[in-house]
Amino acid sequence: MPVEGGDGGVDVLLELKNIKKFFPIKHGGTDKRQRFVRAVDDVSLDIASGENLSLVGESGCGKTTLGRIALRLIPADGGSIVFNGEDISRIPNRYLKEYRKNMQMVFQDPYSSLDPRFTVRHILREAMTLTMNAYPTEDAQRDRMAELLEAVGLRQPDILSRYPHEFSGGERQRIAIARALVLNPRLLILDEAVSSLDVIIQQQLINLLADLQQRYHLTYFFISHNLRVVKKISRKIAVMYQGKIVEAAPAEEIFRNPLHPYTKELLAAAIDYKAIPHGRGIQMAPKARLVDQGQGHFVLEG
Amino acid sequence: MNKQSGHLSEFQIAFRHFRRNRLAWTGVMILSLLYGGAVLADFLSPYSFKDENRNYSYAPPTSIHFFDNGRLAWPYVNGMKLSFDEYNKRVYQRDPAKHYPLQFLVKGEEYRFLGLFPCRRHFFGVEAPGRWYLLGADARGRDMFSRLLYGGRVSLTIGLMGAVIAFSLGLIIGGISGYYGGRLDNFLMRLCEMFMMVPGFYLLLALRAAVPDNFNSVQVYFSIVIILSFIGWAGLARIVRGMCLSLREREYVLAAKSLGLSDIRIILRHILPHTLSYSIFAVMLSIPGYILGESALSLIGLGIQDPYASWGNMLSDAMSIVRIKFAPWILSPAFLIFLTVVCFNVIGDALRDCLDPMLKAEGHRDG
Repeated sequence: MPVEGGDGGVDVLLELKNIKKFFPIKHGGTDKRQRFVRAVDDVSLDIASGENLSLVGESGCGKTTLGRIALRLIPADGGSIVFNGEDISRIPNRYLKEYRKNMQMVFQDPYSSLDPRFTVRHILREAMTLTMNAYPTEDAQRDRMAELLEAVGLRQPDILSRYPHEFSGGERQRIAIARALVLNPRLLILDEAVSSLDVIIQQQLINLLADLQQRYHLTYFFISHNLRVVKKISRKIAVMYQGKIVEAAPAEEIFRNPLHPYTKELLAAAIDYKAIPHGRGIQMAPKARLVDQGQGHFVLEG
Repeated sequence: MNKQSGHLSEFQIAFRHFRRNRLAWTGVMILSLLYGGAVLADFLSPYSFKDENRNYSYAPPTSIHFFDNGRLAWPYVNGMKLSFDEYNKRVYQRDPAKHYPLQFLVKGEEYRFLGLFPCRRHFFGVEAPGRWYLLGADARGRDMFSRLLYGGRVSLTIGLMGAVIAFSLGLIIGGISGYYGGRLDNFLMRLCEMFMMVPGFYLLLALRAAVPDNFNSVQVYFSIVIILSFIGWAGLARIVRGMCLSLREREYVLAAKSLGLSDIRIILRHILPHTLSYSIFAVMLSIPGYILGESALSLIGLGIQDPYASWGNMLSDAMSIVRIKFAPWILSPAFLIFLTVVCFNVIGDALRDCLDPMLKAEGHRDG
């Protein structure tokens, strides 16, 4: 998906080119052929600096896998990851640290993304130890922690010495966001970051994320199964289905004029709570390509 | 961590649970007594472990008298007269002519108090020509009570040291195996199985046979520790490995990875601590195994050598039914082994109970 020139020559922060990830299926019986799940099948995405891209799709369509590949948490089977003009898909693991400082992830489940044995202080300090130069003294660390907690809207006085189990889901997610921000990343990958929370908290967090974006000049790569959630925050939306991007367009465009049948179903389900009538009935040609429909609107052909 | 602020880590919560378990606390108390006795053995014991007097072979426990001619007196013991009955069996008779008051801080053989400074005072005992046996004497007239205290030094520490070494080996190997997976995992697990395949006691004997027999007692002690932990690590490693396989998929591990933490750090800080709740009670329950292992080796004469005492080699004296019949006190090491094993098991069980909510809670968070 080429960059949409909305801001006029924005620089591309993260570029995923033809990413593939196949998971082998354990086979039993007499069939000796190795089969694969095409979790991510030749996906290309660009995220411009300061932009919000949302990746939506049903559970199991490969969107989380794609997010993890972008961070190189899991290796891709093909394709390349270009961050800030540099191909990071083949550099050895030990050099990755430098890039990971610029890309952070907020995970889906705030109950399992914080180590239950760590206090908030330890959670935040752990990230700081990686940039010792930036926060050399205890005071510097404490100031930074206070700043981050204030930024994510946690204001209880003794918060640093509390354990994750003493917080609600929304608060935990705020801590997770604070942790992701410690290293001053440029890109935040939000993997279903608000999905496990109730709607009110979801709204609060989305507003918070919008504020943080302003404050820290962040770029968001928002992964969600819920179109309604991403509607407000994203400028562009890519719809993923069975490992492929089936439609990508500016947010309003997707909502106003969905072209691919799967997008239509997704919209129907998200906005009107209509059951998807023929879930698996959508056929995609293996070699299908995204076709430009004008105004930055791309749809998978066929 | 922050005890004053009132925020409790899960271990602190578990500890509170543990304190409410009376049985387990009793176990802790008994064990502290035993370990305390072992640490202060030279001070608490009236005699040295090798202080022998053949005139008192299998002397029965000395009775302590509180009345002298019907009048209350400072506790004292009488001397003993040795005679033989018609079957040539030794008979010890009280000799009222000899009167030795029991004394605290009595002068005796010199030792180094806590290994630091020389000292001649023993906690209690009788003055020199007198001899008393709180728990009877063994074949060579050595005081059982003193030898039990000294033997505790070997028997009680060997379990702890063996468990600590096996525990570290098991955690590290299991952690690496589970975290990295793949070929390394395969190799390490086959290695584990090699150790688990051989029946424990034969492996014990085989490894012991590999140790040179001109070792002195300290070397023998450490070689036994190492042998015992060599046998014990494999089981723990396998279980820890299984736990790590699931722990490494937790999101906080991914989060740590995406922060850029090194693998070693992730294993040490985010994975292994979560296996602790299991490993702690697994280790508690495994300590008796090491104690029994040492006892078994010493019992058949392959462990700690006479005159050095361990509960196991003291028991080797009790291998004949006749001796047990005429000198039942030589079974006292068995009682202490039994007590120690029961205490460790009770504590281990209590730990499992109070760490269990933690295990469960972690399971729930798998989401």
